[in-house]
Amino acid sequence: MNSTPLITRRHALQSAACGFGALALNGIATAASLPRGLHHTPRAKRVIFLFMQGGPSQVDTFDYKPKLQALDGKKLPFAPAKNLDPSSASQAKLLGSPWKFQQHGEAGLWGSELFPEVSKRLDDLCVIRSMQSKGQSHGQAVCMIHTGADNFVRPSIGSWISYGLGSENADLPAFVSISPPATHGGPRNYGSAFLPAEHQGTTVGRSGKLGKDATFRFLNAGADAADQSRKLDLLQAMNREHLERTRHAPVEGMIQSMELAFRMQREAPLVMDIENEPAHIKALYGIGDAVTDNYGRQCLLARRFAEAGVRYIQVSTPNVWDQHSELVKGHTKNAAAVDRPIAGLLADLKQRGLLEDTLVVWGGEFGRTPIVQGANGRDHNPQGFTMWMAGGGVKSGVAYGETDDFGYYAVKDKVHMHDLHATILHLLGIDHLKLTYRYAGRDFRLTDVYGEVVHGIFA
Amino acid sequence: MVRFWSSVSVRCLSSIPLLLALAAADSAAADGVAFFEGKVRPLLVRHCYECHSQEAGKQKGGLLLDRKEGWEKGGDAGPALVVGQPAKSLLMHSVRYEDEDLQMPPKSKMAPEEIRVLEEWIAMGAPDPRVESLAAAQPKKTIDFDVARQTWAYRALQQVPLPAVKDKAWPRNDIDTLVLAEIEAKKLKPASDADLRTLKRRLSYDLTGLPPNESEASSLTYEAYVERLLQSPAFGEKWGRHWLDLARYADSNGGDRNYTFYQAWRYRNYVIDSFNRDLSYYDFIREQIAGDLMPAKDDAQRRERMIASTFLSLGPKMLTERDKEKLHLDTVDEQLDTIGKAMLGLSIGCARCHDHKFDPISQRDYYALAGFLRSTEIVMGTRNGCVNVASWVEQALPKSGPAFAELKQKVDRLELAMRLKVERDFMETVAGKKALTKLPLAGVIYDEASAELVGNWKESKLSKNRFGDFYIHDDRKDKGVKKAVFRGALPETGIYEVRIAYPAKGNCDTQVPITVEAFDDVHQVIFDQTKKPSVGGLFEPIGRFHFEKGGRVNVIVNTGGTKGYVIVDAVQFISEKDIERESMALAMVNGSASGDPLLTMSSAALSKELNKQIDALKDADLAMAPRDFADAGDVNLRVRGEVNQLGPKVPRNFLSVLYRGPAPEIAAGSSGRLQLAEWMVSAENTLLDRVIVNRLWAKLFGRGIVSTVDNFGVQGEKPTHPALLDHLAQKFRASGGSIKTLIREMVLSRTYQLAAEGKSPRVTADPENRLFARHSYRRLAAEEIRDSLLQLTGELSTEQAAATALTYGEDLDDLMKLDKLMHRSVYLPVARNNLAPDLEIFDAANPEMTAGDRPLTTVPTQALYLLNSSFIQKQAATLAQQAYAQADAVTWLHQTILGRTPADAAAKRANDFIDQSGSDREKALADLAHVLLASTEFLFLE
Repeated sequence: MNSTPLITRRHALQSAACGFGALALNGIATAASLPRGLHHTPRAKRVIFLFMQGGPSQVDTFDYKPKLQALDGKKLPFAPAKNLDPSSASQAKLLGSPWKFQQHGEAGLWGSELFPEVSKRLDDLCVIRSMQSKGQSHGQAVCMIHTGADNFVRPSIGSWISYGLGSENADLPAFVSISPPATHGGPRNYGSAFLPAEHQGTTVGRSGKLGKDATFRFLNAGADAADQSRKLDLLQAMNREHLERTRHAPVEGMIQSMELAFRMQREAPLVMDIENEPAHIKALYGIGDAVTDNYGRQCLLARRFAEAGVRYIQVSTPNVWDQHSELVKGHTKNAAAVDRPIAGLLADLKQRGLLEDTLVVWGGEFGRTPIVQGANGRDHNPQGFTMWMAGGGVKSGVAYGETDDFGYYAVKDKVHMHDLHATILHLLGIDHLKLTYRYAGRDFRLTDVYGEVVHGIFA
Repeated sequence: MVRFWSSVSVRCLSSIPLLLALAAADSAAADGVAFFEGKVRPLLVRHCYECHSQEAGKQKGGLLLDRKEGWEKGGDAGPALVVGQPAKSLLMHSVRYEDEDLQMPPKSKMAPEEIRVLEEWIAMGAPDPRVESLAAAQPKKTIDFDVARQTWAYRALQQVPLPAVKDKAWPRNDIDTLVLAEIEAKKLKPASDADLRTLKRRLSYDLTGLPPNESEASSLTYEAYVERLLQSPAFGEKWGRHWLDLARYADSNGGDRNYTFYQAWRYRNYVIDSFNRDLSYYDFIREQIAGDLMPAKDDAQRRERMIASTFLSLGPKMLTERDKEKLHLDTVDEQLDTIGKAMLGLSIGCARCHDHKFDPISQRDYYALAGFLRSTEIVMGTRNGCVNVASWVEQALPKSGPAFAELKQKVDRLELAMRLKVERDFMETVAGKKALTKLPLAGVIYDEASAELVGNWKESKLSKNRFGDFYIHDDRKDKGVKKAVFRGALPETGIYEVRIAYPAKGNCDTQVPITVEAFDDVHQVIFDQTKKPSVGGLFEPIGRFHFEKGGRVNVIVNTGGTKGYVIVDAVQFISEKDIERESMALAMVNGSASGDPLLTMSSAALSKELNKQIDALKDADLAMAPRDFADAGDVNLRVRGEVNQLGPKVPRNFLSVLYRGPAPEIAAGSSGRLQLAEWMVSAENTLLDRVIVNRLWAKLFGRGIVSTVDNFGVQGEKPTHPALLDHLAQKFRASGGSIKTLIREMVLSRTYQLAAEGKSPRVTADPENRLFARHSYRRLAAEEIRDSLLQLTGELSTEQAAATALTYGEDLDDLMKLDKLMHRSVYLPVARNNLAPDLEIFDAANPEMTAGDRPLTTVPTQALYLLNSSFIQKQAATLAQQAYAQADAVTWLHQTILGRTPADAAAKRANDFIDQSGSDREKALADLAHVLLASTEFLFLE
């Protein structure tokens, strides 16, 4: 029913345009952004970024350190990082991991019992154990991981990707952020800063929570389509008359974006409707189980966005990983909430052949200290931590880089957050040195003046 | 040269032994070179050349390692090695990864045997046959200020005679003559004049941001209408908002913690009022930079000026930054960036790490300016008892009465108690039964492990009353030889109490001599280790001393002349201001807190009380005004912008490209912002005038004479009409900085009153309208859309609003409900990271940074908003109710919303739409109103 008036309007628009086509195309270009072109053959078409807000511990998950276990309770044999809280700096005592580690799969990568399901998929992962970032506090480090800047307002990585590649699906935004953080920079972490606003992330849900009816802002799936279509006809007729008189490109843009909005209103709810997924798929993600339901639905939604052609999908946990105390209690709970959903996502992407050109990235804004804070916690550690990637042109079943014997400082093949960003862009076919935007007289890029592509992890 | 002469003189003094030595050295040198070639050079090539060689074209940190002179001179951090002394060589320090900030090679540590090679090489004297000179590598580019001073942006304002024009009847004022001359030069003619209805709609929105009042618009002449609008309070609300875009105005911090800026609204209203009373732009600038320091004729003016200086404090800050010096310098950077862009059209911030790549701003200039602002206190203290979270300066406004001071004191005490509670609770969860765990760790403590020990000291764990795992004692042997030297480093300059920890015992010495090497002097103290320590049974104060940050902080425990045991456990430095806090904490820990009820309250009760008091405080008469630091002064240049890489101190001064005089005289303890403000508004600073007149022009004509309104630098656009720009700047200066005078002149020009055009020879010849031969279309701004929607239904409040943000509590992260606020949009709370959606989607300024030119985006979300927002539907329904009673509802709706009657065909189409809508006529009218409100004709000005 809806398609008829839409086609009519399109015809009317084309005929009314009378040789005005070039301008119309320009209008669309500003509205929906055309790809700016790739710098080289991409290995991945899209990214799913699984953000563990608060900073999970590397030495309790994927960076096994026998020496840390052996010297549990002893003094760290070298100086702890600067700016540590006195409650950990004054003692500087090692805290062995409370979790057992074992090797998994054919490659024999180490994983702890915190992530039993993800550990089963270690053969699919490329574990980077030598991450480093900037920012000893969450505010800085969260902005760093998402925008490449710890203290200034810069476009987020998804916005850069949207700016660089545009959307694969004209009816959906190129960058979607599922339940993004409301704090620690909040919207800055999916914001476009000085890039055109169309590149900012479109959000669904908030603060790690995906409400059952969560949808895009101002999307009204319940609107009476026939009624709205009739209004739209009148509106567009008026707008076209206005365009005839003014020949003003932004008026043209507005007419186009009305059409786009109308289509999005129809398409987006279909993509976001996870209820119609078969039961076994929902089960795969842990949907229905109280512990894993929320993150499971986030992950399943991410897969659906990926399938529909969204370029960059951020999937955030709530800000829960910050275990300054009660490491065992906190990490146990947090890992349980995401382990099955993440493993489910990996399995589902793989069985659909999507993992080949979808890059999955997992990690927090920093890791945690191998030394104890207070009685039973760990402090922030941007000096050395673990993130992993899967699919999208990276090696599988390998570990890259090393921290020292205790998992504190990255010492070998260090991967700075800037390097990770450069690498993600590279996998998408973008040269991080060339993706620039002129603002206030300077060419800005995601990696500022830093960033080296980590070629060693490419398949 | 110096080296040459000195070596010659050495030879002359003792030539014979030296010759012998030289002979021996020859073969050693050959060995050394072989060692270098065989082992060192390959290693340098492999690990270092990529970033430190001419071949790679990289000289990171200013260091070249492909020639001997390279490491001799070294990089930004000084010589890379000390010949013969590996332990003192920066190179070894960095390859050993001893400092987390300086690790080379950066990606992976070298293999241990490689590190040994370097060590050996340096130890043998670092033989290096690579003789290429440093000068052969690329010379550094320097800024040519004299050339820069001749360019259009920086030179004196140019007095150019008005050009001759062919069509002498066309111009109405000088603007027109200057514009017409350029149009004629391109063999074009200006567009026709706009019709009066279109023109008045344009004028009304441009001057007040509101749709025209039909009766005024139709009864007044154009000139009278201009005056009416200039005098309307709505003028300040419109033009004040333009300034707020530049001032990155917000009611919350954004950044890492989105705390509410409870007092920011006063600045917003100050800006609006200043535009309304046409405050001289020069005073406006002065007050924003130094209002808190300016003399005032009465309390009212003093209030105003303090409020004005809020400008400096409004930026987003990373309040959780643990490195407080970095926090200060980042704040300075943000201020310089804003002052530069908003007032001078310069990206000064680009010179933080190096000379500006394009513009004549040196890194020295940056730190000369930074000195004014680093001397200005913006961030301070803690917020809500969160230890690692900084707060910001607020100052009581005159006439606030004693109530405020009391309140503030109470909040301070509550915050302190809360912090202590948090610390204590934390300490209680810490394992271990040591006395230490019950002591809040105030100040800076050094355990015996960090002391330099002379002689053999014995470890002991005998007493449980100790700091850390154990303590050490001299075993009553080697008296006078043994000593323990603590070399400290303190975060802030100030008076500190020095305390010594020891477990008191009867067999300890009663006269232990201690030397305290403070900043001012060396002090000798004798103390008795048999006496039980008075602070927490663990530490004993030995006196208060003045220490400087970065200065000498040495405490030496001696054994000379002692007989009993001398014990060394720890040394504590506690700042005087922390002592009260500590005693409160101790009272709390020991349960002897009967004195202060605050200390016995539960955390929950404290938190509740604190919130109550903060609530009261947010209504207090405060300004978010900065103040000068007591230790105001010049700052060190920071090499590569790194906070801890100190370069030379740079005297506070103004931008070299615009100022050639001596550095200003600044009294001790004063930031110098008064001098900075005076220089900013001096006639010498031609950028100030050029930038503001260009901004006024851009807002009225749709494009600046310099189209990059925030960037007058090399990377910006050049002026299309340099003579016009300077003409306006001179007029502005001559008027004493009257904004209204210049706006009046602009809107009375014929150029402003031209019709906008879709298709004409002018559009073909000049698609961007660089000639201003026609007017430009523009979409309504976000505020104009919302304000119009409220104005049309008669709901818009004309009252000036006060603190609209404060009802949202301590942070502005939560979604705000604004539908009850009927004030103009300029008064809505501006939460960073959380803008009102109605405004954000139509490109309201991003309050994180200066936005002289809002981007115009066309995104589907806008269309979704126009289709679905409940606000627009509600307004449409209200208009439909009003239309329902009209004889010709369709015409009435067109007239009300679009300001014109519909053409016959359009009227018929609208009536058909209503007739086909079914029986509910009011809903049909609401739908029509909705369509009209969402139409591009409503949303665009012609």
